[in-house]
This record gives sequence, C-alpha cells and structure tokens, in this order.
Amino acid sequence: MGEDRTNDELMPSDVASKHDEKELLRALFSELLEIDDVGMNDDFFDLGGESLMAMRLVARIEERTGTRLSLRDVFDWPSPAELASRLPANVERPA
Amino acid sequence: MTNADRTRSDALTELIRASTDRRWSHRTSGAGVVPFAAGIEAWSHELRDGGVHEGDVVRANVSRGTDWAELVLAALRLGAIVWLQAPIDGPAWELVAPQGGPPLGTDTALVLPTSGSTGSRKHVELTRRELVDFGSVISDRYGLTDSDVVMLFTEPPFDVVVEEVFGALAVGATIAAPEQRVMMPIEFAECCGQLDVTVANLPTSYALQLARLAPGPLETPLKTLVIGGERLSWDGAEAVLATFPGVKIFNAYGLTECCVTSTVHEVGDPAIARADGTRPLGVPIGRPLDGVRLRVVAEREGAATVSDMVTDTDPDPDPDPDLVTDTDPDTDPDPDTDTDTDLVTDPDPDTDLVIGELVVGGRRVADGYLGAPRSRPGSPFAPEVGGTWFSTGDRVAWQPSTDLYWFLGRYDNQVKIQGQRVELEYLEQQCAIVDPGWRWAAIPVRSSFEEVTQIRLVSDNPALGDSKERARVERAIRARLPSPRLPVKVTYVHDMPQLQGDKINRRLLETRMNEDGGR
Repeated sequence: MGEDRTNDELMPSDVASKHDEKELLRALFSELLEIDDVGMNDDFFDLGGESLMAMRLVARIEERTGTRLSLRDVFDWPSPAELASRLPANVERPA
Repeated sequence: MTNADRTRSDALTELIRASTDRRWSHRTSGAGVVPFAAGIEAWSHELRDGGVHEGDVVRANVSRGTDWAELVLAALRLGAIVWLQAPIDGPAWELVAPQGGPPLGTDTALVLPTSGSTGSRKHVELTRRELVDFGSVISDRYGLTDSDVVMLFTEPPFDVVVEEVFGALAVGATIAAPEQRVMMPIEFAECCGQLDVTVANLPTSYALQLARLAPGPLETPLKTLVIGGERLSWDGAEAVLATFPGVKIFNAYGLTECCVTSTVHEVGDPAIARADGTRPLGVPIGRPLDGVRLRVVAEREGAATVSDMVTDTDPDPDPDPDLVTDTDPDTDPDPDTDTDTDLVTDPDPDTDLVIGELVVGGRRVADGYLGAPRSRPGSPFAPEVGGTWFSTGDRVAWQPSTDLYWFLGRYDNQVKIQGQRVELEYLEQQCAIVDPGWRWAAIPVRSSFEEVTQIRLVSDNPALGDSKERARVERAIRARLPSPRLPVKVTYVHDMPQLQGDKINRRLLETRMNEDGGR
C-alpha cells in the first residue's frame, strides 16, 4: 500500500478537496492500469502506463474535473499525489 | 564556407549546401525561425576539432529535435558515417574506431537499427545516394515544397526520422521541432499552429488516439498528414479525417531494410474508396514508390505470383513453404485460422486479390544486415541479378486490376504496437523465466479501430489471482522487456482454454481478452 503523505503546504480549507482529488486520481490510475492497490506515490509509468495511456488519463481527468492538464504534467508529476497538485484548486492557492 | 575543402563532394553534400544556402531553417517554439546553416556549421567545427574525417563512424547520441538533424547533416557533409542509436546519457556524439566493427560500405551514410523486440538488434546501412534518392521520391509523393513546414516528430533512431529530415531537405522545406513529442489533441493542434506546421508524420496508433480523444475537428495549418506503422481500418481512417478536416492523409508502409518507406496511399474520400469488396481489408498501403519493386509470394496455387509491374523473371518460383503457410498443426485444428494472419475477414471473392508474403526489391533495398552475410541460410535478403530482394514476413493483399496493396498482418507471431515490432513468443519466454512452471500466452488486445493497444500476458497460475502478486510478477516481467514502456498487462485466468495435447487455444483466448479488455 502506498502511504498517503500529507503536504505541509496545504491550507486547512484545501484539505478536503485535496484529499478528494488525490483519491480521484488514484481511482483513475487504478481504472486505467487495472491495478487494485495503487499507492499515492506510485509512478504511472512504473506501473505500466505509457504515453497513449497517459493521454487517456489526461482525457479522463478533464471529464471528471473539467481541468485540462498537459500530457507533460503526467510525465513531470507521475504519481496521484503529485498530479493532484497540478489541479487548479491547489495550483492557485495563495502562497 | 571556410571548410569547403573539408567536405565530401557528392550529391548529398550539394543538397545540404543548396538547402542551407536557401536559408533552410527550423523552428522551435522558444527560438522562432533559426537558419540551419549556423547550427550545421557549429557542429562541423566541433566534429572536425574532435578529429572526425571522411569515412569515420560517428555515433549520434542526440535525443531528438533540430539538434539531431544539424549534427547528422554536419557529419554527413564531412563525409562521415552516422551510427544511430537510442539516446543514452553521455556526450552528443562520439567517434567509433573504424576498425572496431564490421566493414561499412564506401557510400554508407547512416547505420540504423531495425525495429525488433528480440535480443540483439540488427542494423542496416543507408547510403548517401539512397538518402538523396529517397528524399526526392518521398517529397515528390507527398507533394512537399519549400514553403512547407515539416514537424520533426519521430525520435531517432526510429527510421521515419529519415523521411522527415531528408524529405524536407530535398525541397528545402522548413523543419519544426515541437518541445514535447506526444501531445494531447488540443496541445497538438496548438503546437502545429505555433510552429506553422503543414506536414506531420505520425505513428498510426498516435493518430488514432488523437482522433479518439479530440473534442471535435482540430483547427491546424496542417495540409498533409502521413500515418503509418500499423494496419489502418476504414473506421480509423474516417475518424482521422474527421479530426483533421481538409487535410490530405497518406497511409504509408515500409521497413528500415528497404529504406524506410516502400508504398504510399492517399486515403481520399472513404465513401468512394471503400465502396467495393475490399472494405474488410482496411485502407490500402497503396502502390510502390518510384524505385521500389514488389512481389507477392502467393499463398495458394503453390507457385509464386509475380506482381512486379516490371517484367521480372523469378529464378526460384517455388515459395518457401515455411514462409507461405505458418500453420502449426498441433495447435490449430483449422489451418485457415492460424496465428494472427487472418484477423481480417476474408474479402469478397470477386475482388481478384492475390494474398501472400510481400517481397520488396528495387534500388533502395539494403544489401543485408550489418555483419551478417546476406547469402546465409535463413536470411531474408536474396541477392539477384539486378538487385537484392527482401522478404518482409508481412502478409499482404494485391489487386492486379488496380495495383493496390493492403497490409494484412504478419506470418510470424509478431505484432506491431505503437510502432514497435514485438514477438509474442519472446514475451512468453520472458514470462516463463520469471514465473517458471506455469503456462503463459501473450495475447494482443485491439481497439475498435483494430490496432493493437495492449498485450495481455495470460497465465493460469493461481498465485496470480492475488493482485499484489500479479503486480510483482508484472514488474519482474517488465524489467526483462526490451522497452519497459511496452503496454503489457499480466492477466490471470482460472480456466485456460485448451486444444488437444494441453496446448493453449490462443484464438479463443484472444476472443475473450478482446471482449474483456478491448474497450
């Protein structure tokens, strides 16, 4: 099981949505990769994802959240926890 | 140019010089339009300072993009031979001791690995004359001009990069390198817009994925889209046409051994093009390019059917029985449904098709694999008076009345997935090493557009019923694959379908896997 590390920079009000986003991403990884127990810090590509599957991932993230990520985001931020940080609620939070 | 006396003088050098004089340029999103001449000149200095002379072998280690094109052209202008390899960490190039390897031809320009998944890679040589010839033929076929901007999409050493660079070079078209290779549909369209890309050459699997995921028609400056590498169904072609409206789409087919591309077909209007009995075959791969000769070794009637349009006397009309019927009587009760070769529904019998193995000849076929004599038994290269012929192992249909060809599949258990050729038996062997004592079957899964999207590694080892164990085995298998990014998935079945004698019923397994996981 992957450990769900807490992010020190989180604002308290973000915690709930942040958690949901990570869980959503974990579920999407799991669905696409057909792996039951994806860890929050597991790398999409180490789990057997490749670029065409990463495209499906980005498309599904847009479907579910309305946020259009770049494919590069998946390459640069390949775990559910990291990728969640690219979703706007987190990106736009005050510094 | 200060180094004029240090360049090799032949048609290729002339072409590089002519294009750079014409302000041949490239574009990147950061730097705008950059003339090629400066980059080539800089690499030339570096290569000469590093002791590179005519005839030396330089290993190119630049990953991709315009740097790659500049380095290769600089080396070729000096008369050096460029050895292409998958990029590794290290210097951009290195000099390889000429005596260290097999002897290379005096006109050799590039040494390219051929696409293959098993063990050691085979290499072929492309000559300077072939690069000039091929660039001219392919740019003519696609109708490229010096006002075109060709996207440098392909990552070396994959051979399509030769088509992109030398096709553009032939007419002085601009080359544009996107910052990122694989992009989402909107990103791809935006990138084409930013760089004014008019010509792109994409693997079939990627073009289909763009079509599947695009929210609608994509607005781009594209005029020409070349796709190739896998069989293209009409449904797939229609999806691509709908995604890139008004763009001329070509379906290309070829092998590294025969200088990248051998046949090209302009897709045209599917409604007209498929209104005959050939629809089940998918989109044709077209007709041979100038300088290419084709034969089909027919499966039936026992004798070779020579489909070469040039009068050709085949000294050996008997097809090799191993090549023309790949049936294993032990595993397959019905010889007409063997391996992967009949995934296509039989075409209408009225369509006068000749089905068999494609053999490619003509002036751009390599002389053989590097370091392997072509006359060796089992070599796919056959030297004949007038040139070498290469047995592709690809199953094709040929329609004499139209001279069109269709790619149907492979005679061996090789599948193409994301542009890579993969031997299913090789995958099974690797599985058996990781998980000895259990039966494994590598089963290709296809999308609704019929291209292979994934390979299921199927076993009935009960331990694999546990998802953690399955993940562990999958990781161990993946570590043994030639590319760790190959889309493989370990799958457990509790009832492995069988034929007599404990053999796995692959056909049934494939049907099941495609029902389960093909979506």
